[in-house]
Amino acid sequence: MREELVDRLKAGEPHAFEELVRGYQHRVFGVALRMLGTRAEAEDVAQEVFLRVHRAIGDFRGEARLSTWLYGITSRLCLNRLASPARRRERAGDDVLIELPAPDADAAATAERSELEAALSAAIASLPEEFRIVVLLRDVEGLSYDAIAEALDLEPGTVRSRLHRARTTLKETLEKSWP
Amino acid sequence: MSCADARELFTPLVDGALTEDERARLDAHLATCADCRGELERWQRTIALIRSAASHRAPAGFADRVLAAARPAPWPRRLARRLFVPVPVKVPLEAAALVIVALTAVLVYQRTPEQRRETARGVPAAQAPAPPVSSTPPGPPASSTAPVPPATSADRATPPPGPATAPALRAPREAPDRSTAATPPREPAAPAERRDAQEAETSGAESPTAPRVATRSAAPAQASPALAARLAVASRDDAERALAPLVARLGGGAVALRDDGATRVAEFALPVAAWPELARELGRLGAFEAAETPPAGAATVRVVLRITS
Repeated sequence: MREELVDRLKAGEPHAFEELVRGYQHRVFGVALRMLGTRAEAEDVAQEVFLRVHRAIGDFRGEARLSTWLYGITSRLCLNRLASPARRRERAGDDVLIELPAPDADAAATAERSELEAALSAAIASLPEEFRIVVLLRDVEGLSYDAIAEALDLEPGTVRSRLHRARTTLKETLEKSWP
Repeated sequence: MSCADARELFTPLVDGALTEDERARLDAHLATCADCRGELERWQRTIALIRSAASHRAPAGFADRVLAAARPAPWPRRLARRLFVPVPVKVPLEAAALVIVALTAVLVYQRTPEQRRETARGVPAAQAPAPPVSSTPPGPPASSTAPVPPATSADRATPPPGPATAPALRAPREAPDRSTAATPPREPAAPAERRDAQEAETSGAESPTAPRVATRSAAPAQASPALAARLAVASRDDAERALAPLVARLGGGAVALRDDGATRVAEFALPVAAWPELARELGRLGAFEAAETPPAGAATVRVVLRITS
């Protein structure tokens, strides 16, 4: 995230916030969707993320990157929702809405890809949330260990061990579906 | 380095996060362990698969909705938000307020003489005058369940029972105004009013008085002060039996009784001077409550007594 955007946001420049939203909406929504499993809830959380940034931008001290701050807010809101007693009784695996890749000319390849995507989404959704968020931030969103640690308020060593556990579980799950 | 230890380093290896020492030890192990080399390949395929996961796009219009939500509300709405509490608190408070207002209104009504009088007058001319007269002729004891004031009330302007007994309600009012005692002292109820009016029209000789009667008969229903009162008794029948003699003893007029729902209503004229004693005597019969005291300056008052048990 460009530093000047942060300055413009802090200054209250009208188009700065719009630039932030349009630039990060898909990433924030994507993390929320894979964490929560339903589009409605993901949109609700994603909107809340941006509104919180909008309200609290004045408090942002710039110690971390603005993107890390965004992911941190997204992660906390998702984890809070998942921590509710009602959600603890569920496992998101059954609720994940899997988006199929855009159809292409090769129907067979599309079908296979769809099945693989479905299996992957289900495997990610079945991870415990504290592991799921780490693998999403690292392998889907590309954040560094340090950025993940900052976003989730964890030690880098904890990020590394949780990531390893998550990947190991995913590997074993996927190998059962796709030996 | 064991295979377990080596495989623990696969994650930082894939992420380029190994320290130099860790890298050296892992490389040394992989060089001699085919199983771990195979496991690493599978591991890397998994990571690649995870990283190829389809991206999810935000719904159409999402950004616009966020921007709209972030727009500050108009200042009146913001002011209202600051002034009023959140809905979970506001709704119960408003419900409680409504209950309090309703209870207050009931209490005020019960204790406000004017309100009760207005309610008693709610059925206009037809209430006091006509219905009691026509339906339950108060005067004629024959048809009325109420004790008719005995003839001893002759010292009053109340004539013996008859068609004119209904007018007895107005008699007291009329008596002071009437200079000709010969004329029927009491003003008739609606039917009687019409009768009088007709008499006034047809009797030229009577014209001087008939019109007066007619006029007065038309007026009284609205002009005579009515005083609403309540009497709660254990036995309504006993109260009704005791009422007429009491009123007669106090110089009042005939007691007209009628039903108003579950309540028995007694109407009678009474000299204002006898009001205190009436209140005392009725208080001995049960719980007596009057909306107000008779207006000063009036000689007689029309009492509308609601008897409940």
